[in-house]
Amino acid sequence: MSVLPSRRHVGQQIAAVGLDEDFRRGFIQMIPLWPGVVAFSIAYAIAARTAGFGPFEIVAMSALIFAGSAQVAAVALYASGAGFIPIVLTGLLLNVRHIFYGLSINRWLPERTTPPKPVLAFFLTDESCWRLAPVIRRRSGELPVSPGGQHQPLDHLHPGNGFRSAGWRCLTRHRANRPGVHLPAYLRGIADADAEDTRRRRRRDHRRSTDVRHRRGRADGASIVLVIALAATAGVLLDGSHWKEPG
Amino acid sequence: MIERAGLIAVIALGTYVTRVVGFTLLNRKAIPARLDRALAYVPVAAFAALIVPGLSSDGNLDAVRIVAALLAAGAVLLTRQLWAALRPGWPSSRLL
Repeated sequence: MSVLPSRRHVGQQIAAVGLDEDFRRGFIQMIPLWPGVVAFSIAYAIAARTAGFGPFEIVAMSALIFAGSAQVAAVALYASGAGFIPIVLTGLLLNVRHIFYGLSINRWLPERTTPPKPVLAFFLTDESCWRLAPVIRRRSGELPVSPGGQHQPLDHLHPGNGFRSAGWRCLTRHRANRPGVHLPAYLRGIADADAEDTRRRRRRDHRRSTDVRHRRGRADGASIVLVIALAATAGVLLDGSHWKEPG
Repeated sequence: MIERAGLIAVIALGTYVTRVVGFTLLNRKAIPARLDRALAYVPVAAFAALIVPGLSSDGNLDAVRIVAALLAAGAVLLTRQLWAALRPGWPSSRLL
């Protein structure tokens, strides 16, 4: 019997507390990684306890730093008697990759998100980057080629969009398009402005979708194989476990 | 002995800065085309750089780990579900 909760069960629980659909999907997608993360966390906690960290400090490290490799390195260096500056610099070096993750993901996000980007950034990890990248790319591929009503990918993260598609906008467009219905002049003005806004947004969506498809085409194929080979070689060369002690 | 609370706070701050800088450093519209294309490879490059060293032990490639990794990758490719990697990957690495 699996110790992990079923997808449906987790989904129902999250839906019950009213969390956003994207958060719910992201939460579920990360569940397969839990067994590895739990084992890693236990190993980190044992190492930290052995190094002299108290339970509160161990939990605080996980909650505030939230980066496994930096935590393990900090604990190991602390146990070996390293100074403050070397430990901090080592943590920074290990986390420099987050800058590239953020740059890579930010290309697909709208200018404003909910929650705001400084909050989203705190939860940026290796795993979330790997899981998010194909999802965002897939969604980008679903952009409408012809006007069809779908929004720009992740546009729903923009706080204003919920209001834009409701209320007056819906009322005026719906009634204005119905034959035999004559709207007052002030409502007709709103409907016309709304229609122009819609046309402008669809043109922008189409332009972006063309750009995204172009970019996706270039990012696939032999280039990915080459990148994997180079990155794997770099990873092996930089892996600390392969460094031999002199003498 | 250095102050542990201060150490945790400074590392946490430094880590957060590395996370938030990527989201705020460059305006999306201002990214040069070449850099934009290069950034598309970041997740796959990071994944390879972190996973491949784990396929070796003591500096030598480990056949058992490689077979287990290939089985796990094959399962994910076939099913398109990350869950699927747990089934062949972990048990095969134990059995082999």
